[in-house]
Amino acid sequence: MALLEVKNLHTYFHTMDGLTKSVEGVSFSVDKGVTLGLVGESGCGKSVTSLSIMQLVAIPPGEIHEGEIIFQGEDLLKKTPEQIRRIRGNDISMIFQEPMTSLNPVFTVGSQIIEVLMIHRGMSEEEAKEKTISLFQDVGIPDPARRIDNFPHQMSGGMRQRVMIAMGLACDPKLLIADEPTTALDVTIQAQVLQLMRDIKKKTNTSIILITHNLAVVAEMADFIAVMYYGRLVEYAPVKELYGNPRHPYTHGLLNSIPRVDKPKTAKALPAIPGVVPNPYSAPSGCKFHPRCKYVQQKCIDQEPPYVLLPDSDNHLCRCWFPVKE
Amino acid sequence: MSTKNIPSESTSHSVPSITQEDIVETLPTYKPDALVACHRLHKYFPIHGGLLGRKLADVKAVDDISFQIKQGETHALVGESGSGKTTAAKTLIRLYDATSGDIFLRNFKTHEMDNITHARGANLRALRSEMQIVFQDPSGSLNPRIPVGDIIEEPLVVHGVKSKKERLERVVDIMEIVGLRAEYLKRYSHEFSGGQRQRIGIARALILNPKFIVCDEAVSALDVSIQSQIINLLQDLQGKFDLTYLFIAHDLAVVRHMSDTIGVMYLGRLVESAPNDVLFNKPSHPYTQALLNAVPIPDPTIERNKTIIMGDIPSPINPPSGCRFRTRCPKVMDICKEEAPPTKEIEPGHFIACHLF
Repeated sequence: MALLEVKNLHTYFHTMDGLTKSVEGVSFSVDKGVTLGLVGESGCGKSVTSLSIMQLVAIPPGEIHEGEIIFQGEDLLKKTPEQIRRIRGNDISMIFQEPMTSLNPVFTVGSQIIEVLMIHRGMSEEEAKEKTISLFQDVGIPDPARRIDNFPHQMSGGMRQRVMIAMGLACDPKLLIADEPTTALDVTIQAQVLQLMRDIKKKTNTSIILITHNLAVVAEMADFIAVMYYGRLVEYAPVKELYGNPRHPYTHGLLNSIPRVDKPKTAKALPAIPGVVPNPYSAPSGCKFHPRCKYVQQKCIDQEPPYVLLPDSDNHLCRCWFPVKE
Repeated sequence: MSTKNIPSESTSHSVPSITQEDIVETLPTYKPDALVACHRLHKYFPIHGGLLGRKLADVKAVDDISFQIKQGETHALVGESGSGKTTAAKTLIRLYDATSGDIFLRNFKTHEMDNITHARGANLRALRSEMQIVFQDPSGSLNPRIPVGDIIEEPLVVHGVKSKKERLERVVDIMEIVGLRAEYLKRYSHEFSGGQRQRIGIARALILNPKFIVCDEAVSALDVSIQSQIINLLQDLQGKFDLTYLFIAHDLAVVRHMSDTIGVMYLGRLVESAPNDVLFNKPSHPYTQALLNAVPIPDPTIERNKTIIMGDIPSPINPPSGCRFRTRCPKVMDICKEEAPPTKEIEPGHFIACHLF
C-alpha cells in the first residue's frame, strides 16, 4: 500500500485579481522508501501541492477545493487541526529552500529542535538535548555539542541547511518533503547535502518528495519523477524512463534545452521552448501547453487531454493527445 | 549627475602588503586580439571597527589575479560564493577602484591597450559607455517607479544624446533586438515576467553600443525554459555586435555552453584557467576537479563515483597560509602550508597554481 496517495487535488487561491487555480487535479502516490521528484518551473504549483499535503496553505485566501490526501490509509483533509498538528513535523516533515528565513533568528538552533522533540515526543529537556546533539552528528555538523548553542546567523548556508534537515528528521518522519533544499547552496555544498539525504534515506527508509526546478538534481536523487505545468501533472515515470524516453512535449523540450556539463560546447543555439508560462488568471483553452508546443494541432486547442497511462506502459503517465515519439 | 549609482573615488585604500618592486616588473605584452586585460589585480575591502573606527583587517576579495579576454570571446569566472568573482568583474569595469594592479582596455582609435586603472572624470564616463554590466536579479536592478522605456533610455541621456527623437528611435530599436515589443515602452518593470525583465536589463546594457559586457549571474535567477532563451539571446547578440563577455556563473553547465575560456577562482585567487575543452576534459587543479565532480548531471544512467570535498570556503579576512585550498584539498602536502603555489603554464593557455605541478 502506498504511504501517501494524493487524489485529484485542487487547491485554489481567491486573490484580489480573481481566482487562481494553483493545483488542478493532481494525483500521485509515494511508496515507502521511495523518492519522488516533483519538477516544474516557478508558478507551476509544485510548492502549493506540498503545502496542501502539509495543510499549510493559508485559508483564506487559499482553499483546498477538492481532493483527498490519504496518508497511511487516512484522509488528512478530514482531520481536525489538532490531529494534523500531531502529524505535521512528526510523521510528515518538511525542509524549506531558504534555511535563513525558516529558522528563527532569535533562538539558538539547538533550542528550535529541542522544542520539536519536547512537543512531539514528550521528551524532557535533557533527553531532547542529547538527541539533538546526536542528530547534529548524523547530519555532519562538526562539534555538535557546541554548535547547538549557535544562532542561525553564526552558521554558513550549508550548515544551516543541515540544521533544517536535522530538524526535519528529529521525529523519524515517514515522509520528508524537501522543497528546493539545495537551490540556495553552492554546488560543492549542494553535493554534500544531497549525499547526506541519500545516506539518510538508506539508513531510515524514509520516503522523500523532492521538489525542485533542477532537472540534474532529481536525476541523481529520485526514483520517480512527476513533471508539473500550469497546476497540472503532465508526465510521470520512473526516473530512467522519463529521461530516456520523455513523451510529453514539455518534458521533452526542457530536457533538450538545458545546457549540459557533460557535453562539449557546440556552436548551435539551445533548442529553447518559446514563450512563457501563461498568466494564472487567463488559462489557454484545451491543453495548457499548446501555445508553446511545437507539435500543436487543432485538437490540442479545443480539448484538454486527460492524464492517462501510455498504452505501451504500466507506469508511465502522460497528459498529451500526441505524445512525442523518438 | 552622470555617474550616480556608481561608487566613485570616495573610499581610500590601504596599499596591500606587496611592495612596489613587485609591481614594477615588466607588464606582459598583450595579444593583438585582446580587448580587456588585468594584471596583478588586487581589491581589498578594509574592515573598520572599535571606538575610533580604526582599520582592523582587510577582506582580500581579489588577491593578485591576471587574465586577458580576446575580442569577441567569452571568458567565464567560476567558483563558490565568496570566491571574488563579482568583485573581480566590478573592479575590472571600474565600478570599484582597484587596490593595486592594472586594468587595460583596447582603444579602438589607436589600437593600443590603454591603462584605465586610474581614469577619472570625463575619461571614466567615456569608458562607461564601452563597458556595461547585466545583473543577476532583474527585478532588483530595475527601478519600479520608472517606465522601462525611460530605464533603457537613461544611459543615452547621461551620455549626452540630445535629441529626444533620436533617443526614442534607439530605445525602440534595441527593444526589438532583445525581443521586447516596442509598445511595452510605457509599462513598469513589475508588469513583466522574469525573462522579459532580464531582456530589459540587457537592452539597457546594450544601448550605448558597448564592446565589453559583464554578465553577473545573468541567467541564474531565471526559470529553466526561460534560461535557455536568454542564453541564446546573449549568444545572438555576441555574434551580431562582436561583443566580448565576462560571464560569471556558478552553474558550470551554462559556463561550458557559453564560454571560450574559463578561470576558476578560490578565495580571491585564480587557481586554474584554461580554454573550455581543456578545462572540462582535463581539469587539473584539485579544486576544479572537486567543483566539476559536484555538478549533478541530468542523466540517471550515468553512475559516477563522487568524491565530495568537505567543509566550507574559509573566510577571506584570514585566509589559510600557503595554498588557500589546502584546508579542503584531498591531495594536500607539507609544502602547501608553507608556500603559496606559483602560477605555471602547463600547456599553452592552461595555467594552474598548485604544488602538484
